[in-house]
Amino acid sequence: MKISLPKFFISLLTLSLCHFVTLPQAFASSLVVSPPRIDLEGKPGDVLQQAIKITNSGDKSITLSASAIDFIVADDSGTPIQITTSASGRYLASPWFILDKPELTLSANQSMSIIAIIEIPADALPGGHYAGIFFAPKEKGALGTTGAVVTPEIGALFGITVAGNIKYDALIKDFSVKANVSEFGPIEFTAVIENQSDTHIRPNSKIVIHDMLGRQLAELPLDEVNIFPFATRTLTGSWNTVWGLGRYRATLTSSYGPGLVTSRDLSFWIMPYRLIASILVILLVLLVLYLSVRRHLIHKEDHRDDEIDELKRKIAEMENRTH
Amino acid sequence: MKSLVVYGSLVLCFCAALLNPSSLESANLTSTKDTLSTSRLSVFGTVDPTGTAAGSSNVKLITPAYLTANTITTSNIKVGDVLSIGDSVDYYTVITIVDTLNFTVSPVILATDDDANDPIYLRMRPSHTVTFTTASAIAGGSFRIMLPADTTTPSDGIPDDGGFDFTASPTVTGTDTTGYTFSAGTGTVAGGVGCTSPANYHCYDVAYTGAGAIGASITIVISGANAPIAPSPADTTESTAETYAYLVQNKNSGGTVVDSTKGKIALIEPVRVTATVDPTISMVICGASTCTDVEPTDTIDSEVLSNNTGATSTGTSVALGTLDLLAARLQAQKITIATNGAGGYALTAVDDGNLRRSTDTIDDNVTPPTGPAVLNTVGTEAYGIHPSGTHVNTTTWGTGGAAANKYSGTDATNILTLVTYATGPTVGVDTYVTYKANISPITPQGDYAHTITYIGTATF
Repeated sequence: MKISLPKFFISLLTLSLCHFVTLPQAFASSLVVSPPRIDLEGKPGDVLQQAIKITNSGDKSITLSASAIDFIVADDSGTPIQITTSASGRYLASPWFILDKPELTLSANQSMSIIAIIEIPADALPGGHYAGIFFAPKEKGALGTTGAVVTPEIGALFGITVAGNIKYDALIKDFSVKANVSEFGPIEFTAVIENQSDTHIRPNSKIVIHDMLGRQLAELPLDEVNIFPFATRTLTGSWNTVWGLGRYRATLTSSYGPGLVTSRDLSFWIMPYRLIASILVILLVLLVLYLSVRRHLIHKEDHRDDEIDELKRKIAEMENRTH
Repeated sequence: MKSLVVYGSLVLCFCAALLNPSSLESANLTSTKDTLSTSRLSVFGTVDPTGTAAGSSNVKLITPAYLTANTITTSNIKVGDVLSIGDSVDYYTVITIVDTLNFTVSPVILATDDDANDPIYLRMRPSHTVTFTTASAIAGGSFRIMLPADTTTPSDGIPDDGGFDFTASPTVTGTDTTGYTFSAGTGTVAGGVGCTSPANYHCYDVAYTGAGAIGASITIVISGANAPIAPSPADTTESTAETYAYLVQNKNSGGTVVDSTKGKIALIEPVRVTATVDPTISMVICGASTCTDVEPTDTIDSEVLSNNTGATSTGTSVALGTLDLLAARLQAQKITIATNGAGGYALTAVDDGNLRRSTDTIDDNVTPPTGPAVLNTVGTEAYGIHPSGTHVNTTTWGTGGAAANKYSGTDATNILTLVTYATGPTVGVDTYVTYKANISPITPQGDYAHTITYIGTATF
């Protein structure tokens, strides 16, 4: 086939334009999920149901796929990490999920609910099982050059506790104060709680502070957070006091599960040493002043005594002369 | 003669009329209204022990009504009300409305307050601001406001089903105006001395000095801790007002009613507004195509985005363009996450493999993505992403420019955590993700690509 030169350039131009057409579109992914976290309880053999609302808050229609994926938490901040079903072990839950709409198309600013039916197997292990429903656009971005195609994914997390013989155990792995000796408040506490239960726990924790005389000075409630099985969470608390003097005792208690409590305490000092030093210096200066004045007065009296003695001596001389 | 008789008769009639004039007809006071500080009815119910127990916070109303305790639903009870429960007058604050019969209170119910038919009171004492316009100029007289009273128990301190319950020593005041200088007013219970006609009305009197005036605007207020208790009627229908007639009279100095009028007061249960805010999390990703602060030549965390041909970003892609052996190529996206959940949010990333072209790859800066590192050696093949923003951990990711910013590759199995913000609800906070790539002299030519998935969730 013979192609003329002008036709060749037109074809080249068309290809070039096509290349530009496949470059990224002007589009901002914008999705909203509600609720973002769900706790459910059930018995083996139960069928649970939960609606999840997904909203396309962007300005273009979008087709989403919805899928259930297992997750675990490995850090002490509660960051959920997607894992495969083979890796999820005793926390497996995603195969129990049946979604009424595994794929849905939302026009701009449209919301839609999907129903998740969760069939707990009759042989499900008692304890916690974890999966999320994640929504991602079906249509992927396009690239005509080196770079990354980016897919946003937003999810709702499920924590499903299967009833049965569940072991509950937790310990306070660390309880510390920012400084063992502080000059002033506030006093910052950090607590690390480890959940050794078969399911997640949500401890109700507080720090109670007593002074040296045993008087309770403060009660600091800490955030209530979920702790994944065999994971830790770091909690922080602050005693917003300014002044203090002496040794204090802080007791952390965390109640979790069916009425279980774990506790740990520590001691710390509040010693405004600069203030104490200043007061001591002032007292020292006052003492020196006092001693100086006193010494001056004593010396002054000594001079008077000398004068009196001199006068007595002169009187005696005068008396001797008259005799 | 005949005409003389007729005229004489007319003169006699006129004189007779002058000798025995008819009494003055009273005129209506006009523009009368009684403005209540609250139009809410009082509560008078009784305890149903089947849902009320000592040590518990739940209180159940008995139904049907016990005697005149006509509050048989929670429609007239709202959160925050301080109710008196029990014969010994213990006070409880309403915490929640459970349903039409049950509500919870704080503190918990005492042992003396959980018996059948223990009373539950909320005594509403609205102030009455009565305004009207005078019809006559009556010197040195008084005004009387008459509020409807119950026929049997008009003053027992308990909300009545038939009218307002009188409390002694109310505060009754008139606002001085031209022709009227008021003294402190008084109240008299229905049937009391001087307050018998018409029957079953409480009387609130306020006397004045001055000449009076026609067309004067008068304001009389009945208020204070001893204002009358609003009714708790039997035939109340939710959201339908109950009306009560009141009277206003202007008397002369001898106590005779000269002008009067009648008005109506309306009372109604409060409208309970309920609303639920669903917990949500939202994620928006934008690039240079829609966000103006991630365009080529913009500066992100003290690094300037490249402006080479074809380099740009959108919400779904990042194009680095032609990579350069002598300079790093950078582009960026902005990810905004907002949540009203107490647990905050987490932003993680996973990919489908290395930045690649067939079997050739551009190496991740750190593999696996466990410890981000500075990516600042031109001519050495490396690729990674660097998050920056308010919630990004700068100890992990560095901040402040090419020499400090730390980059990590992403991985298909090891999830990379970009942000974990567990402190609580947050408005949309921006996290910028900078993509940076360097090539070496032996990096094979071609277009390299991969897919990164950013996952936005609540923290667990």
